[in-house]
Amino acid sequence: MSIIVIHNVETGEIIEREMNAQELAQLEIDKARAEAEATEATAKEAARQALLDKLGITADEAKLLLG
Amino acid sequence: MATTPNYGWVMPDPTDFVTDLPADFEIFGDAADASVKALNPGTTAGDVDYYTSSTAKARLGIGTAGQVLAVNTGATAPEWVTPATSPITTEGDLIVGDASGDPVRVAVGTAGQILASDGDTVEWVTPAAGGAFTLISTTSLSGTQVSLTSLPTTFRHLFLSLTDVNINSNATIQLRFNSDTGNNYGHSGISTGSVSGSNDQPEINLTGPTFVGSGSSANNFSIYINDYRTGRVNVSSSGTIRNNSNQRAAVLAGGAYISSVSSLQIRCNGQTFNGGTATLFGVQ
Repeated sequence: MSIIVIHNVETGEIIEREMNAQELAQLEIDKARAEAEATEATAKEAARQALLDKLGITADEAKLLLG
Repeated sequence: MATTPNYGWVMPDPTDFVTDLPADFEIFGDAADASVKALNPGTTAGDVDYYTSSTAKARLGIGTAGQVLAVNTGATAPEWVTPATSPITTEGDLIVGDASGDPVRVAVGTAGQILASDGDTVEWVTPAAGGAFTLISTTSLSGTQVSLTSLPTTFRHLFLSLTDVNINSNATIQLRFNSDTGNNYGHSGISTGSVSGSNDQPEINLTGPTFVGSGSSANNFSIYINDYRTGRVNVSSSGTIRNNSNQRAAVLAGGAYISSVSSLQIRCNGQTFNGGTATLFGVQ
């Protein structure tokens, strides 16, 4: 169950309700995109670590090298 | 000697001499005249007669032009009074009470002035120069998305403070505008040495390349939304967070938007807020 909170700051009215079909569909799109971004970030980190291992240096040493 | 039943006028007796009748009628006539006069005390055109007791009447002379008949203060008699007239003379006039409670006119102020109180009465004043923050709303963060709608149009900028943000799973914190999910935004971010950025996104990412870790409440953001009504909005945000490795991280983010903003959507990228507070201020 996905809840959306809508606060009308002019009237002060706060509505908490379940997402409608359109909002749920958008939520699924957002989640899929977030998962893809997380996967990409994890893959980048793994590749970076693999490269560091291959070079035999630490991340801090790599920063010194590039700095 | 006989008398009339209501006013006690003296009547001739049947045994009176005929020669006494002129004198009797004179007495009778004088009494009748006095009674009739008492019933019609008016002397002048426009006079109004009114009772001063159950039987006696008095004369009230006509008032002046425009006066109306009213009951006097003691509620004992009528009197002519001048009615209150509207003090309004001009478009935009207001009517307020003066020190005596009488209605007086307050002329409309100049463009941009606001109505204020000086403790005694009201007056149009020029608002203080911009710069002050005005609290618009305070909202607890819960659910998948918190939307702040019907944003006022009386400010130039918005300042949004997110404090003690807590989410149920590692995720970025995002800001959307007007519930627009189109790829209409560009943003960039920095998080403790790492940078990220994307064009054509459906939101502005406030945490740059870093995810906020789940379960921590040590996540705070200060978001300045510049010129939110002009269609050339830009957003700058700074924050301190606990990342998904539970490390303290500083995040900076910025983004651009090309339409005026009427609502804000605070999101955690499909995850759920466990807590936190969104406080929105208007800035002149």
